Amino acid sequence: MKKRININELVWLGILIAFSYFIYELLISGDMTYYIHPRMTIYAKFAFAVFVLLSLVQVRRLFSTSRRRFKLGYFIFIIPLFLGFAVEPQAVSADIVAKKGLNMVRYSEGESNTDQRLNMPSDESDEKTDDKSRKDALDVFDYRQMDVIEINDENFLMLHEDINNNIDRYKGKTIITYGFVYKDENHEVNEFLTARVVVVCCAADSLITGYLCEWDEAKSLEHESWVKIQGTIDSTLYKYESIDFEYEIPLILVDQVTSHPVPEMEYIFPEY
Amino acid sequence: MSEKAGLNFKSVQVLITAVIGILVFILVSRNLGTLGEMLVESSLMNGIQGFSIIFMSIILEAMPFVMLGAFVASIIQIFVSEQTITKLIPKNKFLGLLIASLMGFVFPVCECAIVPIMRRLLKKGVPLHIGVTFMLAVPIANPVVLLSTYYAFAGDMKMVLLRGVLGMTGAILVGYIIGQLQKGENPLKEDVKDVEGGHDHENMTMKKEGVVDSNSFQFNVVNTHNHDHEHDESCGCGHDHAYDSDSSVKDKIIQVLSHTSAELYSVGRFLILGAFLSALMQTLVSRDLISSIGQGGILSTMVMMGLAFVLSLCSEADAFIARTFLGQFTSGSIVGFMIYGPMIDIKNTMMLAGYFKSKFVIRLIAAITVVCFVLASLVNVFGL
Repeated sequence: MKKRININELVWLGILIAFSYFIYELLISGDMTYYIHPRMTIYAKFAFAVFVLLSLVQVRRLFSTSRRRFKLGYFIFIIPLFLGFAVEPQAVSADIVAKKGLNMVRYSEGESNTDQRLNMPSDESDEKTDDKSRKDALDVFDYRQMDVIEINDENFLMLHEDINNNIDRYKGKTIITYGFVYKDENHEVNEFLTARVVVVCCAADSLITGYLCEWDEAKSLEHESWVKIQGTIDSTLYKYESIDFEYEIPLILVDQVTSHPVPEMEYIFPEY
Repeated sequence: MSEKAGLNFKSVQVLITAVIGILVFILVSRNLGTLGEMLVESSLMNGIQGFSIIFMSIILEAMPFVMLGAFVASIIQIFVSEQTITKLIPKNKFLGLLIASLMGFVFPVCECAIVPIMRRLLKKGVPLHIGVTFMLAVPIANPVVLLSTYYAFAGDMKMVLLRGVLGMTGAILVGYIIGQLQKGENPLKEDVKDVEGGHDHENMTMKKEGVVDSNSFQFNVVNTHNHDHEHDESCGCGHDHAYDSDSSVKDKIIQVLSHTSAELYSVGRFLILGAFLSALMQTLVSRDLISSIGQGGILSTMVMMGLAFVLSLCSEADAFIARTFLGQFTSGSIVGFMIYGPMIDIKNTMMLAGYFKSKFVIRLIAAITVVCFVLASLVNVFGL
């Protein structure tokens, strides 16, 4: 008896295998984090396992008989497969992220309990342990004492929140930070943002987070170029977007600007 | 009934052809991509790349949860009986709604996973109003989302409470309203004939009704067998998924997987379409446009709800975006953003459209919109 291959089942098998491979490649190369937050990687591994399992089950169905027409729906699955392979995994460009808005405002309306919550940059679970790495980690109380604040990927969010919420505590201090230059039509000639892209869950919820900077030679800075800046923390009243009122935000009066290499991973991933 | 394809020569041939086909596809895609980079103007290319990364990120993020949802739905289908369901549902309508709205604390599931689960529950006899409340409340009133809201708003409990309480209230209201509006009308797209047991299937052909396009199929049930259970071939994979204690564990596992595969196809199409549209919105709709439309009063709430619908963000992450609107948009509109989005957005709408009749989907969206708008406006009115 001649067994005919069921085209629908074959195409679906191809799609399942292709997705399996696509996810596999992203996981192996580490490029998965261009799309999703590292803590979600485990779910991607789960999806990979499921795709593989489904492919195996699908093999059994290759010769099943059913007189369906070719399912046009399969073309829909080709779209992400095509784009996934055609477009190289990379960080989303700042201009696209900026469409969702810039993260430059106060973190809360009323009193924030930053002091109680932000006592440690958390890498893993937030249990109060006597872990040695915890003891070494600096918290906001430490930073508030310092005269020179150096920002890196680990303390970026913690300090961004604290400085935004408690500007007075930080005024006059020297700050060193790096990020990409962001300028748009709303900025004055001597203004720019030194920013990072923050990804909470996946690239679709990415936000531009940074500090407003003022520098005489800001005009010479290229949009989206990476720089390291040093300056003094001050504040300014900002009316960006708001039609009704101005609010006080940190402003860095920049003394020094040097170029900085593009980091290995451009996104910042909050952990909480 | 599928025929077993053992590892014979023919299937190996087919597999190799499939794999070669895939490799060719990948190579062609990659080369086209590189070609595109060379030929297409850079800012347009940036847009396409940005769109693509966002599009893929939504899919990669949602896919595991859609699979989980399909798994759970399959498990419910195969291992849970209608009788159990009937016993569990409270007789009192309000109590039922209340419990449904709290289920998120028991099963914190995201919006992508909830649709297949909810459909399966409905098919198992869960009343519509409870199913809807469950579907709407779980993505909001759950510990993961509330915790992320807490962190996004720097510990501001007010926002967390508003989101949680109004989310649950909204879910209950919409569930109740939909229950009234639908009045026993079947909201599901497919009308599967559940065949009562105790009869002979030999040479009987059954046709699945309801859906017009590629979902319709025919299958032949050839064997005679004694049974006193119901049949349900609703997923179209050719298997009988009815609750049946006779089949072995291995068979059941394979059934679950087959069902999941079919479910993945049916909901995956809509997930991809939804992701495509959302990513498109993200690439095209800019913040300036949003701000310029309106920031005060009624307009602000409408704008924020519209944004929530269009962006289709995960409820675990949307609080962080919502927070950036503080001070520029009214509190109520921000709360509106945070309850409307998890309940309905482009991605959800597409997935619902795959399972439910369009009339129902429209009613559902209308009810959700009105209820969320009212609740959000109340926040503004009371100056919360």
